[in-house]
Amino acid sequence: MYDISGFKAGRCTLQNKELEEVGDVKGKSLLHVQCHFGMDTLSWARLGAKATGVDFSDKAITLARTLSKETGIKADFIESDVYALPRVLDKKFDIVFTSYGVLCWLPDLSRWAQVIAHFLKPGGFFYIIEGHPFVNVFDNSDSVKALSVRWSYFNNPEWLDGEPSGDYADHDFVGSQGTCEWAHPLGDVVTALIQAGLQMEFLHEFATGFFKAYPFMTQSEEGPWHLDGDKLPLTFSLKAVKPVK
Amino acid sequence: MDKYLQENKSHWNELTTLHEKSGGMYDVAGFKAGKCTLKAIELVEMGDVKGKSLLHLQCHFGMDTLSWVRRGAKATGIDFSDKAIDLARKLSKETGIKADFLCTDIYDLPSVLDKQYDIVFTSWGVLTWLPDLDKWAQIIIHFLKPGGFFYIVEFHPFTLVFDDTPTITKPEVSYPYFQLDEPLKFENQPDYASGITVKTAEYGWQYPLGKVVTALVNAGLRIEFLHEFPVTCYKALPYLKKDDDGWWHLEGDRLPLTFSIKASK
Repeated sequence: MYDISGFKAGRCTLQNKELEEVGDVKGKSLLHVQCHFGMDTLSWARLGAKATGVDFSDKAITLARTLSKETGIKADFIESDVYALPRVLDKKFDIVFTSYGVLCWLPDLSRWAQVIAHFLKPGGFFYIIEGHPFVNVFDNSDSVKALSVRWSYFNNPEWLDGEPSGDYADHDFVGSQGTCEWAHPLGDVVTALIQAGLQMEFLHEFATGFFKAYPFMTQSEEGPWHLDGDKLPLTFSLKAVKPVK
Repeated sequence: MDKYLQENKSHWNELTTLHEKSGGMYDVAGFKAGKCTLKAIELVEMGDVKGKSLLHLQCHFGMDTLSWVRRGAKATGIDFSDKAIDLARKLSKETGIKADFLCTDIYDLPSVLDKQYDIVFTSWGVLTWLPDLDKWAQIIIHFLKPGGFFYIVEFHPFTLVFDDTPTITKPEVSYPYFQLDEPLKFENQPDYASGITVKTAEYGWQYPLGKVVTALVNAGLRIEFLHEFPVTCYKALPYLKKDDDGWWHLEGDRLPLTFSIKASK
């Protein structure tokens, strides 16, 4: 999932969906929120964007800077919580980008949307591609054999006290820390962005996922994960613009 | 006339005859006595309609249309079932509540109605009868005044993936979420309101939530909100339970059963 040597050798870590839907980024300034250790940020820079990556993990930002140095791809990396970003970064961007596994770490969607709107130039756009919130309602334990509703689509107080669990990229590795996660319904994401002043351009849903959400999923040769029959939406993407007033 | 449209029209003519006397969900006597048939979600989210012109698409036999008029709207209701429109006109006459009713397929509406409205409204079980969502959205914006808004409250498409066989006791994924090339055909199903087996077949389309939002945006509307609710207005799945206010719930309110969208021109 995180192929660092492939990336260093020139491989783009971005997936087809975001490449197509974000479009040409050449010469555009791009803010990548929750960038982890920056391979996607640097992939945008390789495609011509002037990119800034932000993450709250200092280890992730340190690694991102190392990768930037080693590959010679220029990008700014800032260690900051999303909500604190307006205090440490004074710039506006053509594009704000975020992707795959970001929303569950956000306690407050309204403030998140306000931060996004704050960093966009008028006429600029926000793009997110993310796991579909429907995915979260089904049991994802290692032992489940079929789709079975276990969690709430709306709110799961249990998730605030998450036990250490298998890493999504390396199932045999169990982290030492528990996690706090939040469920965010699709409507809340859309409405938070609109209330922050953005205008919806599209809301797309896809039957493929970016990771093995349930043990009975299968991976296609191109990489995305499928459920038998492609019955459910596993991924969504959304584009919203900041109006020019 | 298109085969699906023709059969669905016969289906809704049959349903109208059943619903006029079904009571319960369609409480005609209660409505005549002054009861508002609109539900709390749309009443709160639509806000004050006093003095506003309102176009009600897919209005069935018009009790909701007339309920908006009781609240001060100048309403026009349209439906493709002639029996439904006949009954709507009859109810309008009997109650003395003024409203216009037009019998037309939604896609033909621009050729028979030349007017623009403050509000276009549609609700509860409408999208499944539409063969073309993009054209539907274009018709909505066509009938809106600049500054006017569209409002829909509808069954959440996520609910439609679950098996609704009467013997099922918990959510089990059975149907695909995504749009199919052809509509699904249902026959010999019990009427959702009266429980009586319906003789005419029905053809239904299904639309993912993203398609609904994006069709409205592409037509030129600006989305104002997308809300999701863990309740619905009828027993959509056999294991739902009714609360004292008449809403149907899944245990723990874990799934979205209804959504609403407001979008402005």
